[in-house]
Amino acid sequence: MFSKFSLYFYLILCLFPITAGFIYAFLYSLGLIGAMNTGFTLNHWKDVLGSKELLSSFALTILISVMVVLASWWMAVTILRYYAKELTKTILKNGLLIPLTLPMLIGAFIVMQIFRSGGLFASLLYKIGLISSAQSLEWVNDYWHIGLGICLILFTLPYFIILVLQKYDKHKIPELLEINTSMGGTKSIGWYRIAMPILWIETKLSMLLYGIFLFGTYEAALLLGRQNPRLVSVLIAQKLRKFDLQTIPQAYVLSIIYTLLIVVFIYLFSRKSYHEVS
Amino acid sequence: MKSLKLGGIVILILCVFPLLYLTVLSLTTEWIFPELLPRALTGFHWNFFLAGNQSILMTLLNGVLLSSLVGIISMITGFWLSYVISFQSNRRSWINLAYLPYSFAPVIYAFLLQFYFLKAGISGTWSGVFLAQLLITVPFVVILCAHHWTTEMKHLMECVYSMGGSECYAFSKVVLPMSRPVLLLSFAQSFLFSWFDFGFVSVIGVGKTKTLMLLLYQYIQEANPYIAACSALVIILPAAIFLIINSKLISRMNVLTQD
Repeated sequence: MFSKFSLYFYLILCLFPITAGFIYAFLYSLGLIGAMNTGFTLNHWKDVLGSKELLSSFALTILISVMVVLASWWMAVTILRYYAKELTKTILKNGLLIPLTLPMLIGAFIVMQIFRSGGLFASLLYKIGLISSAQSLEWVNDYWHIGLGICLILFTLPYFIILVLQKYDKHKIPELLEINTSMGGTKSIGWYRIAMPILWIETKLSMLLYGIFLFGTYEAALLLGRQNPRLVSVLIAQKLRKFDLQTIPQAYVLSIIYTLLIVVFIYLFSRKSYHEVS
Repeated sequence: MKSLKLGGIVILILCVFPLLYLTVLSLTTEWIFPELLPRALTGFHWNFFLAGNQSILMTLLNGVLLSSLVGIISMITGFWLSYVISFQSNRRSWINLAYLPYSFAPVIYAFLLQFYFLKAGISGTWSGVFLAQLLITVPFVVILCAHHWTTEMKHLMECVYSMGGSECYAFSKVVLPMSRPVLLLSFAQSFLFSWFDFGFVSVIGVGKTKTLMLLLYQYIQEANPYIAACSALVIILPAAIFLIINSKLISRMNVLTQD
């Protein structure tokens, strides 16, 4: 009886708040509730779906998430290839956990201090003679989102190194590589045909899930991202926090699209994880 | 071989660098372009941050209390729910359900729920932030503990039942002593989620429920990097303590993988 009650409680805990929030956002976006809304309208949806802002914001967020995940994975695997033995040492294993103790806001703050114009990195380049003034380097709120990219990669990379190292040991990749060498295969073939495919298959679920987290990244984008286009979470927050009440329904339209995307991603994740386990 | 060692040192330096940088930044009053190192080190900002400001101490205590409670409640509830789920036939589907709230960006989740918290009269209150954080931390603990309920654990419990022990007895004498590491990990992770939370605190708390993360953001916006660095180091402290207490435990943070 108590177990049944616990299951209902769990179901409510996981689904009810999101569903309730979704319904409120949906009704608000249709003009049925909320201040300034006078009745049913599709205008807010037309405004958002017809604007370039939505497309550019979602495209940018997906692009950054995918690029950060792929770049971090590639870097982690490359580091593993050359420093696998070093990474098994306790001091380095513990060292890799240090960046994981930082929250995103602090990471973004550090990146902001180092890569802003006149920051530590600009000072270093100036001393070397690569730039002539503090303003020559600006990677915070910059056009290409370089500062944001660096911050997200620095956060993702230690986690991915730990992850690929675990899979590397678990699937006995060193032994497989040795067998490859003893059978006449080159080290390069062993790495690209044996190690990398195993690591890719074994970590793709984690990459998908990490990509979903990055899709909703807020603090780093708030401090380091550009004003236009903005990342989805920042765009929604800014539309809701503006004093202009007209932008609130648009923010809810964006929230609905975000929620649907997350549900689709989690569904894909669930299906893939189910297949992998079974 | 020598270059390998050098590579390891470089990786280690890069890992430690954020903490070193924050420490130096908090101990300086002037670090201007193009200087690579600050001109002088001083404890001035630490004095202001810790001794000269009563509200910071209150904010710190408020944050510790909030995160500790979130940690304890999430640990107990999540652990129990994961136990119940582990005996269901479609166990994997139940676990995957927890990923839905956990994957949501807290700030967007908070905006979606803001209306209901306002109607309930708990928006901008300590209890509102507490409840909102539980909505993510409890499913998170379920994910953390889900893999703890192995066949061996279930067999052990069945052994207790077959010898006449009750469910309560099996839990207190077998399950809990064997679950200490995962319970500690659950507490640590929920505590840190709450401690590092910015989305719920800023939206549901509306800036009224003061935490160090909110204070840090305020210092960053005020372009006060030196005090912000002090604040950042204090925020990192609990995570560093958990790391020191049991680095092996924290290394099991691999919750994203579904082994």
